[in-house]
Amino acid sequence: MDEDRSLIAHLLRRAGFGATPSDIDAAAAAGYEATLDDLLHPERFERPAEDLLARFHSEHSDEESPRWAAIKWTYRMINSRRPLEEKMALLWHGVFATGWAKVTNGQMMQRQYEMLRDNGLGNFRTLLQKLSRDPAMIYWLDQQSNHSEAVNENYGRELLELFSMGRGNYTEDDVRACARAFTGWTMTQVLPRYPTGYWPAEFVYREEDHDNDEKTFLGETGNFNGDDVIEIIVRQPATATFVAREIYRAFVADDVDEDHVQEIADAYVRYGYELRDVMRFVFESDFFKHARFKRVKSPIEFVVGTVKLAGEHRDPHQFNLARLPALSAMMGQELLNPPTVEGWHTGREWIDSAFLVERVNFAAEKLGDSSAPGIAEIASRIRSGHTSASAADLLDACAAEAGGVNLNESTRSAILNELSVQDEIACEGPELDDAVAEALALIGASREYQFA
Amino acid sequence: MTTASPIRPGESAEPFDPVGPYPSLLRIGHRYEISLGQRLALGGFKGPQDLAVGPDGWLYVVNRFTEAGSDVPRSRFVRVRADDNGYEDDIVASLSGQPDLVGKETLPSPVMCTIDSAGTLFLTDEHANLVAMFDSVSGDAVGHWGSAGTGPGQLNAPSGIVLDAEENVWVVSTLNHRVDQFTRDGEHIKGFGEYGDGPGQLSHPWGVAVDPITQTLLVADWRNDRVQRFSPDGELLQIIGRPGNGPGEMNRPSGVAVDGQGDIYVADRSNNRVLLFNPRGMFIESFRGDATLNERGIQKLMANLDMVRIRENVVNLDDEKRFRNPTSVKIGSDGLVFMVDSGRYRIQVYRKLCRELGADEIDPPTMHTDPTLT
Repeated sequence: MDEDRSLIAHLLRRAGFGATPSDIDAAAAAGYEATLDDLLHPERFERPAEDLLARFHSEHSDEESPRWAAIKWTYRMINSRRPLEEKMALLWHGVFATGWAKVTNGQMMQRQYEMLRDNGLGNFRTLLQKLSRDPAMIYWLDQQSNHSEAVNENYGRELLELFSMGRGNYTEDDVRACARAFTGWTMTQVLPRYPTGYWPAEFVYREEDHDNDEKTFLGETGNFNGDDVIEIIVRQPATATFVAREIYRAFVADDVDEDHVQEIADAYVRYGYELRDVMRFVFESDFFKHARFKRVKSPIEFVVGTVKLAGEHRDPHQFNLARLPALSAMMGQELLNPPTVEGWHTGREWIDSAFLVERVNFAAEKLGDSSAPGIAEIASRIRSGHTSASAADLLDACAAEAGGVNLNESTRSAILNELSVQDEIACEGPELDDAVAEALALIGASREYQFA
Repeated sequence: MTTASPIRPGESAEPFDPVGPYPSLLRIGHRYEISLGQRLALGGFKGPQDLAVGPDGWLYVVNRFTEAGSDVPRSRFVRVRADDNGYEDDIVASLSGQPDLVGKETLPSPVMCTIDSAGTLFLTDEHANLVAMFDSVSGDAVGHWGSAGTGPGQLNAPSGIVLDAEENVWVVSTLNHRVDQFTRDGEHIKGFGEYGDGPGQLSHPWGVAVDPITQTLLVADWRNDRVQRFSPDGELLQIIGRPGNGPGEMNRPSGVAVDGQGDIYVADRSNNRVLLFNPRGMFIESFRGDATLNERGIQKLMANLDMVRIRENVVNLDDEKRFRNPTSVKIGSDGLVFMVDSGRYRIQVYRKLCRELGADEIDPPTMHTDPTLT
């Protein structure tokens, strides 16, 4: 795979969820800068039409289960021409981890996802402001119980510890002052779920329940409300480093290089917390361009990337879409239901023996299906212009078409030993389709395929 | 053949006469009667999509749902009395009586149903691409037909289904954007429809109804946000509605029904309401839901005292009455209208109240024809 296509494939894996060979062709023809510019400006493209998705999944007419919200999100990850906004939503969902297990309202989880998607590339200040008004977050961290006369510190503490600055950068007094600033930030009482189902709540500010006394927060004193506290938080150096580290781990590499994190943190300050500009800085950096296959794919990245490569679920009518987020959950990542407020443990912690078996089985099933549109497309591309191919050539071509999977010599040798085709194979016959599917299934089962 | 006439919403083309065959009515209104089924309750609905009004007085309700975490089907029919004084769960759930349907022992994705005068249920399934037939009394599968494809008479995500006066079967093929007529045994007779948004064209049609007075066909042209009336030969006769959420406008209409006086009920699904039009296609009124708790709902609530307390504290219970994604409307006897409130797992039952007028009780139709006159 040539360098241009390899670099574009890297960008499309990180700023999106992978790409088909023809997607990579198109992006390579447009060039890295133009492709990146489009990724950073999702508003240039329409989102996938969701009415058709709802039409063919009318069993979810109640729109209330987190399953449905997760199914829709998975479909968007597969089909959206605005993949970076979905990737940003996934990043912030992992950081501001809110779970169905407590919220128990699929519509509220859906709205939080939409808020993260719509603001994920915006200003970090705005993102925290929206987050603090999000009903799912309010309920998740007990903000509705945070009263002027009875302060509940849960949200105030996590806002500082897990959502912005990190431990060691504030005092218990700051936590108290932060929580007091958010008193009166609550949500409407909704109808009980029994017997007619769920209703989403709305944010409401109750002035009469807000603590209007003076507060001292991170060395500044005033009659602070929630937005004032956020304004102070976003300009803290610790926040810049926090945001930079989360972006680095989500888009660059699992093993953090603190020098590169500091470069991103500097960009965060330089660009006034504008995340679109920060992400442009990251994607244009040399450390990003050289960080190929340095991240373990998260389960949903793995599932969606594999489905995209197989060319499946492009059609909202295709059966068993619900299986995809369910499989991601079985691999350790249940969308809209992270295990705790700390979110998922990423990197190598995505992989254990049980999760790996799920991954390998899924990839082998999807990539080993010669009738799948994406696999047929790869076979057709390999067939084009060749009358025959050796087993080694076939394997290398499949690895290239699968986004430039960088098989090491040991893996390559092991796969070659496993292939049914050991000699030359004629390209014009149907046996090529089977050989391509077999090679892709083995690539999908490889260690290297686990990395993005 | 589809006719691409320059017809506009609210207008009618020859030869359809939207006045002559239909009775003039003194409209009194609709009375809310009862809600059937209840969410999360024993003996309730789960994912109701459509119903058929049986000759035995029972309602046969298609429930479509899947196992958590997959699309493994758990769909079933529930049989319920129109007054809620009778309920039987799971009367039909299996295709296992059809040995050639290997792997489809349960209904993957049932959409809509109808029932004939002998009590045979006809059900479409949009992933199995077939019409399945069941004996409504025994629940046994008694046959199935249909082949997947894009040609005339082939099925591609079949949805709406209705019987005409001869008890031939009209089936909407959503992804073929067609409506086809079959014999009861599945032999293709004729059909019409092509993809597009022009007059007479269809985009992802869903429900279908036969006007019992003129034997014309009303098709819920789902993605074009309108209902179109066709002759049985596919000639466009009338366009009803246009996109929007104002009076008489539609947002993804899914179901359509015509009563014995030619009135047209439309499940305006994404506007969360049901619309009523007269045979001329003029908008009459909308229904947003008036549901009350039925006995099953009360029992479910009383078994959860925390919910009773929360409910006691709720400031506004108004939303609880309203439709959420109503999918279908069906007509019963004595003016009963059944509206399938899919998103709230219930059927809201209304009764149409009106008086048919004799010729001497209303001015002739040639007078006062300007609808802007009061």
